[in-house]
Amino acid sequence: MILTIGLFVAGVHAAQSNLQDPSELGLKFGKLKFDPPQPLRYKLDSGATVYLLSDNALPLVTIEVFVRAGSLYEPEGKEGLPYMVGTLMRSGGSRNFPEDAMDEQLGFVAAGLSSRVERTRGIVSLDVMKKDLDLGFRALADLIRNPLFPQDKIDILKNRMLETYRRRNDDVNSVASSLLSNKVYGGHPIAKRHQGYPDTIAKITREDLAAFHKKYFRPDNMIIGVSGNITKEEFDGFYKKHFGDWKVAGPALVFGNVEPVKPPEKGIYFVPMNVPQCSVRVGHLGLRHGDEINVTAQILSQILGGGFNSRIVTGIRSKAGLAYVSGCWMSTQVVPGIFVGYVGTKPEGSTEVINIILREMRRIQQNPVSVDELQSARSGRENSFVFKFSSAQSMVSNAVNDEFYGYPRDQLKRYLQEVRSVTRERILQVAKKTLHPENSVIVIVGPQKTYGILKKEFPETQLVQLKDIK
Amino acid sequence: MKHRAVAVVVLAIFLSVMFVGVSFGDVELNVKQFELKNGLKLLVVPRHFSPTVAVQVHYRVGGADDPPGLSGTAHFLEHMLFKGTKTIGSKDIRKELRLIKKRDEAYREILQERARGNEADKEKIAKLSAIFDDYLEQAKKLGHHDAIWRIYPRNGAVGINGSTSSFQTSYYCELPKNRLELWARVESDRMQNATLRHFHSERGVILEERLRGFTITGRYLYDLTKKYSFLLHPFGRPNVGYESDIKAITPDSMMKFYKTYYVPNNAVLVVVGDVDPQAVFAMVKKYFGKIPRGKTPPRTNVVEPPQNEQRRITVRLPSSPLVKIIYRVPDITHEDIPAIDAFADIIASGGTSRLYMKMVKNKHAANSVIAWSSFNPMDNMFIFHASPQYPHTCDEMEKMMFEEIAEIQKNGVNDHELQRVKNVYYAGFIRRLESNSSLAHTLGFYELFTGEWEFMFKYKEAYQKITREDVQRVARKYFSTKNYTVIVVQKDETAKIKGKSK
Repeated sequence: MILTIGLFVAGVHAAQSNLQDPSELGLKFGKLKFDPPQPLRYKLDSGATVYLLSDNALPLVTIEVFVRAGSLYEPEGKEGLPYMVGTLMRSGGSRNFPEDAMDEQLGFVAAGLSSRVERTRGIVSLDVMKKDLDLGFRALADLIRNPLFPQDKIDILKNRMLETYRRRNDDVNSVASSLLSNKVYGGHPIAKRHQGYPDTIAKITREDLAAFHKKYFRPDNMIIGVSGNITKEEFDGFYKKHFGDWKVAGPALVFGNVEPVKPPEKGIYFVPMNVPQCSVRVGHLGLRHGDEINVTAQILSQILGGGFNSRIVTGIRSKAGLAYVSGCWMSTQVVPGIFVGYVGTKPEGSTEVINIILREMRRIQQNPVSVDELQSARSGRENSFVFKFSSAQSMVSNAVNDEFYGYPRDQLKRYLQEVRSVTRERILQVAKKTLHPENSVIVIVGPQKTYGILKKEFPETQLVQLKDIK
Repeated sequence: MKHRAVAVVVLAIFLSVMFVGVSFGDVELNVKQFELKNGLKLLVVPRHFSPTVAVQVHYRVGGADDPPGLSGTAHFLEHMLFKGTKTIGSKDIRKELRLIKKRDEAYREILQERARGNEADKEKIAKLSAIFDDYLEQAKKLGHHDAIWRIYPRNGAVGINGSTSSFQTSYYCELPKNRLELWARVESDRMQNATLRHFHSERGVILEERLRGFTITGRYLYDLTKKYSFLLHPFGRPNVGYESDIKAITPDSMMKFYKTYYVPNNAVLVVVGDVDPQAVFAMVKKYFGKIPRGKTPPRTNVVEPPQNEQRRITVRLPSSPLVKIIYRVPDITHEDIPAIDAFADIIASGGTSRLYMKMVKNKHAANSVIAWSSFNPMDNMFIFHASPQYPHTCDEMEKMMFEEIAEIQKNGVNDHELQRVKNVYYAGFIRRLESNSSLAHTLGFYELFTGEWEFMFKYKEAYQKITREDVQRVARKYFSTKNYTVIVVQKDETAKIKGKSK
C-alpha cells in the first residue's frame, strides 16, 4: 500500500475561526510518500493464523498469541475465573517449567513472558533476545499447552486477589470509574469486576481453571503476531519443534450472543472520600465494534474533549482554570463501550464543571462544528497516520487486532478514506445519535463538603458510601 | 562550530561461559554531534525504518533551580510555554503585548499595596483589581489558550508533552519527517519569545494539578520522600511547588527566570529518525543560530550535609499501608553507581530478586517490594519500598529488608544472580534503543547531565564489569549506616490529606 499524505490545509483560515492564527507559519511541507511493508498472513496446519513481519535492526523478537476468551462469555457466579486462568498460566508453572523454573530461567536471560485473560480476549506475550529464542519459544509453548495450576499457587493468588479487593477503593479515580461503570451497565457482565469478588473467588476450583484453559486455548482459536529479528522459516521451525503436531479434537468454538445492554437511567451520585480533590465523571453507553459511525464518532469525541483545544478542555482548564485533568473519550467494545467526560477539580468547582460538560455535549448536538475544528481534527489524523506504521510490532498488532475484531484487511486504508470524507453535517448527525446529555450518569467522588455544594445545584444527588461500591 | 561525527558499533558480547555461551551479533548506532557558536548542542541519529522523527528539546533547569520562596517556577513556566509565543497564537500581537504589559503593571501595583499589610488601602486595591481584571479579560480574547497544542497535533505530531523534573525541563514529540522544519521554527521561538499569556488562569490549573498529586498513588509520597531525605537542598522541595510559593510567583519573576535559564548554551536538541544529519544541522543553524548565548545560568550552592541522624516519619492515610527506607548514595557519575544499581537489582528488582522471592513469593508477607536509586547529578536517594500483605505489618517489612542487607554485607552475592542482573541490564539497554523517542530521551539525558551522551555506553560497559566484590563493598560502604530515613504509611480510615491551606 503506497500512501501519500499531502500538505493539508496549509494556510487556510476558516471564516468561522476567531483567531487569525498563522498556524502553518508560512512553511511549506513536501509530500510524505511511504510504502510500508505488509505483514505476511498465513495459516498453520494446526489451524492457528499467523501474521509475521521481520525487522533486523535489533536482536529482539516479539510473539503475541491471541485467543478469543474472556469474562464477557462466562456465566455469572464465578467472576474472577478468566483472570485467574490468565495469571496462573504464567505464575503457576507448567509441565516442563514447574514451580519457579520459568521465572528463574527466563528471568536469567531477561526474557519477558506474560499471560492474561481480559473481558474478550486472552493474550500470551513473549519478548526475547534473538539468541534466547529457543528457550523462549519452549516456555511459550509449554505455558500455552501445559499449565499446571497447582493448588498452592491457586491459594496464593486468591489471597492476593482478596488483598487487591481490599485496596480497590484506595484511589479516588478508580472509585469514580467503578461506580460509573456499575451505573451505566447495571448488572451486565461487562461491568462485573474482572478480578472477581470475595464470594465468587472462593468458589473457583482447580477443575474450573483447567476446564476454561482446555476450552479456549486451542490452535484454531489462536491468532499469532510475530515481529522482530525472525524469518518465517525460523518461526515455522520453532513452532514445529515446540508445539509439535498439536491439533484440536472436537467441534469449533461457538461464542454465543452476549446479553444486550439496556441504556442506563440518568442519575447523580456522590461518594464521600477523604481526598482534597474531587473526581467527576459524566457518562453513558458508547460504541460497538464494527459500527460504521465509529470513525466519525471518534472525531466527534476528539473535538468535544480529546485534548487541548477541545471544547471541554478549553472550557474547564484553559479558560476557567478549574482543572488540570479534563476531557472525554468514547470506547468501543463488543457490546457498546462507554462514553465518559471526566474532570478532577476542587469541591467548589464540581457543579460548574458538570454544567460545562453537559453544556458542551448539548452544543455539539445543536450546531455543526466549525470548519476549523473539523480541519484540525482531520489534518491531525491524516498527518499522524504514518505512525500506525512506525514499527514492525505496531503493524503486526494492528493486523492481528483487525482480524480479531472482524475488520476487513484493508481496514487502515478505509480508515484514511473515511477521515478524509467526514463532513460537519455527518458529525452533527452522529452527535445526535451518540451523545445523551439528558440521560447521563454523573458520579462525583470527593470530600464530604462537596455533597452540600452538589445538592444546591442538583437536588436529586444521591449519596453512596465507599464501602457499598463493589 | 564543532562538528563531531561518531559512529559507535556495539560489538558482540559474550556472556558468561559458565551459563550461556552465545554471541548475538552487532548493533550499530550512528550518533552525529554538533554545537553552534551560541553553545546550543544538537545530537542526530539517522534511522530509516519509518518516515518519522522523534524531536526533543532539553533544558538544564528544573525545580532545584526555583528561586527561594518561588518554588514551582520551572514547572509553571513549562505550562506557559504551551501557550504559544510572540509569533504563534495571537490575533494581534502588538495589542496583546500592550494589554499584557498593562495587566502586569496593575498586578504589580496591587501587590505593592497589599504588601503594606494592615495599612493597605482597600479601596485602592479594589480599584486596581477592577483595572487588572479588565486588562486580563481583554488580553485573554487576543491570545489562543493552547497554541502549541493546536499547531503540533494538526501537523501529525504524536506523543506531545513537556516534563519538569528537579534538574531538567523537556519538550518533545514525534512528527512525520516532512514536518521537521515546523519543529525547528516552533522550538526556536519558544526558546526566546514566550509571552506568559494566560498566566493567571494557568495558575489555577497548576493549583489543581498540585491537589491531584495528594493521593497515595500520586506525587504525595514521592514528595515526602524527597522532603525528608534532603532537608536543605532545593531538591527536597516539590517540583510543583508549595501552595504559597505558587501564589507568590509573578509574571516578572517568571520572565526573569525564563531569560536566565532558557538560553541556547543551557539546552540540548535531540533528533532521532528518518533524517539526514547535515540537513538537520543546517535547519537548526537557520532557526537557532541567531539566538544569542546567555550568561552561564546560576546553580544552587547548597550542598546537602551528610545525614547524621535516623529520621522516622509516620503518615496516617485512608489507604493501604507501606514502608520506605531511604539511604544516601552518590551522584550518577560516581564510580560506585553501577555496583549500587546492581545491588538494587539483585536485592529487590524483579520477580527473581532476593526480597521479592522471600517476601512476596515464599512468605507471602508482602504485596510488592522494590529497590531503586534516583538518577541525579548530585547525591541520590536509594529507596526500598514494600507494601505488606494483610495481616502482615510494616514492621515485618522493615525487618526483612534490613536482614537481607545484612546478609549481603556478610556473605556477598553469588555469580548466578550477578550474571542475571547483567543480562537484564543489557537486554534493557537494547530495548531502550527500540523506539526513536526512548533513544532520544536517553541521549538527551546523558548529554545534559554529564556533557557526553557516550556515557550511556560507558555506563553499560561498567555495569558488565561489576564483580561480586564490588557489590559487597558498596553494600558495606553505603548501607551500614544507621542514618537512614524511614517513612511508614499506616492505614487510618478517618485520616485526611490536607492539600489546601486555610
